Amino acid sequence: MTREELIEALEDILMLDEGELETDKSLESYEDWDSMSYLSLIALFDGKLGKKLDIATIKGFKTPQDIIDSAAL
Amino acid sequence: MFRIGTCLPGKIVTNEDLKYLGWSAKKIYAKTGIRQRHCVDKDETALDLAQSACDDLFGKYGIEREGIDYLLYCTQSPDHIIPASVNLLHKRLGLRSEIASLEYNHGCSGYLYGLSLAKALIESGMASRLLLVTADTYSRYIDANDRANKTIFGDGATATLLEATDVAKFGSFIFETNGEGACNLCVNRSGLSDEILSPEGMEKKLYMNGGEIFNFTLERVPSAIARVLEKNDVSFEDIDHFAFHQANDFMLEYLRQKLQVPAEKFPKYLENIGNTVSSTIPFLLNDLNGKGTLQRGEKLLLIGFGVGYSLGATVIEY
Repeated sequence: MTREELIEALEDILMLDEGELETDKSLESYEDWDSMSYLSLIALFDGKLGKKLDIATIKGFKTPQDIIDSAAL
Repeated sequence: MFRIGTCLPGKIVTNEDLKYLGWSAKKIYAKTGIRQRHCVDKDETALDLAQSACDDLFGKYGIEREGIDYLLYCTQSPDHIIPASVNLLHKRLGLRSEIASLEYNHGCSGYLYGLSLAKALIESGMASRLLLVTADTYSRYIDANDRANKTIFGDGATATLLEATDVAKFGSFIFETNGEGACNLCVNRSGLSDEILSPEGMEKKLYMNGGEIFNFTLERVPSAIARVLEKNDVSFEDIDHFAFHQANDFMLEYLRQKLQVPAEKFPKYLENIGNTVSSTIPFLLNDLNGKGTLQRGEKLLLIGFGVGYSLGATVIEY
């Protein structure tokens, strides 16, 4: 998965239109950053990156950039 | 053929009704795959639903209640702790007094536990006509502002009649237990202990760490399926229908794709009733029964997983 594909996937999870994701913006400011989006993120990491994401790690993410860094593409 | 009776409470809670939680009706459906769920009224209990499910079963299949010699009741929403609600269910159903009645506390894997107990009891000669009842009213535990749980869970009950001819078609069962996950789906202070299972959960309210429950299923369900197939000496391709616990559509669909189960082999029944805990699998089987989907000789893989953590699975020949 490329960085661009990851950003696209994050836009889907946060129900944003293409190009709307700001990687340094607080995740809390995104309306759809909630417990259901955690499931989508876990599925994304499991399915596309082969990585397990626990909830403590997810709650530690402050911005989309933290998620991108965690993916270590 | 499965002989299953069902009951859903009359009150329907639609996604429109839940818009106050901050998601549009469309968004709730997109995230959960659920359009509506049934919830009990204040004066309605799991026992009421259980009784109605039994009456539905008796009426639908012309079953004489005098013949029932074992009553099993699975619930996590007991009307009382003392006495066990199953004694009250026994009374309400007017069953013979010379029979065994047993209640057990299990959630998403509860139906698998019931089927395995039925098989053991019938094949050992301790029962011949067993009534397995599942009922839950999680809505009574859910805080009005708990968006994730309000949108997913629904109340309901089922009753399944099991005899020697039925359990003969059940294969071997597998189970898993991991109390490390107890804190991820719990009701703090729901019993006599002062122990707080999850600091994030409110007192006497349902708390679910959906992400960790999802991680549990991703870790354990694929290997459990491999184990139950091996134990029954059948291949993945031999299974005609995968009857999963109907947790929520997102989780089901992800598991289906991860396991590469064809959609036509993966029936669902949650869009109009939500996650009814121990009743999801019998509701699903009853729906398949009603539609005439199942053919004699077909193999079904049943798997329940969740609260506990707990997991159970088996293979059944229809």
